[in-house]
Amino acid sequence: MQPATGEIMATDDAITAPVYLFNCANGVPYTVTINGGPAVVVPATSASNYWYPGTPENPAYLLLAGTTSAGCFNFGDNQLVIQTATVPDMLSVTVNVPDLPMVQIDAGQLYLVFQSYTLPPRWAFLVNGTLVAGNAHVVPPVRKGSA
Amino acid sequence: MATTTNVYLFNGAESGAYQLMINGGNKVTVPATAGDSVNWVPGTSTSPATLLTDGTTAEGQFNFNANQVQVQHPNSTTISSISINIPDTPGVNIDACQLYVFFTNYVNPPTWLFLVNGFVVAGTASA
Repeated sequence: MQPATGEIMATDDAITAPVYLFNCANGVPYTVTINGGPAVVVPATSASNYWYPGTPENPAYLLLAGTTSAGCFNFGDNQLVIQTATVPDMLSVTVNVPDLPMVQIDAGQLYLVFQSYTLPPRWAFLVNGTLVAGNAHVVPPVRKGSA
Repeated sequence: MATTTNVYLFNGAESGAYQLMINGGNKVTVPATAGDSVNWVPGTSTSPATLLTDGTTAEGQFNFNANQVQVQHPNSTTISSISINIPDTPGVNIDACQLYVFFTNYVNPPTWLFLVNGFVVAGTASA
């Protein structure tokens, strides 16, 4: 089976779980490459849809067993390159997915949130709806002219 | 007269609604994602909360600066208190806000992210 453009396929021997990618930005989609795989477009949230985060039609995958392939998440470090439609900057993020040998993994969720489109986004990685990794610490913006 | 904007509350948990009490207001229930059937899009409350942008504050509303929020863990009686500091942004027309709450376990306070117009402006430490 040939993948559609931008769709990530796991290798034949791989056991995987879906990873749903979310974009919380308003009206600005981003593209992401996972571990050197094809670029995936993640649509933006839509104000007309109750501000639900955008997500691609097809999820990415987390490799649970078998042979890795570009575009799949693995346990451990994963290199993501992100680009939004507004600026040319390529933003790199390392997403560390902890191995959870005793957990049956139904699905992963990756939320990306931007503080600015020129800085790497904040992210939160969930397994079965539970947060397992992230860098959600946010330094509030400093208003110009404040001490 | 108060001016407010909507704050959409999201829950990425696999099962179990969490409940939120904002600045001493009534409990707001935020359901979990419906899983595979909705591509794990997070659940949201029936009605959004509100952020007061001008006027007199009231219980149950977010304000600029410090907000005291109590969160009851899904499937648990554990209640965590979190402080959400929303920076005032004069001159910015706020269309809407989003609050994402993520739990790591039954014991620790959840991690959260607060967005204004789709940009994160406040959040807690990593898992």
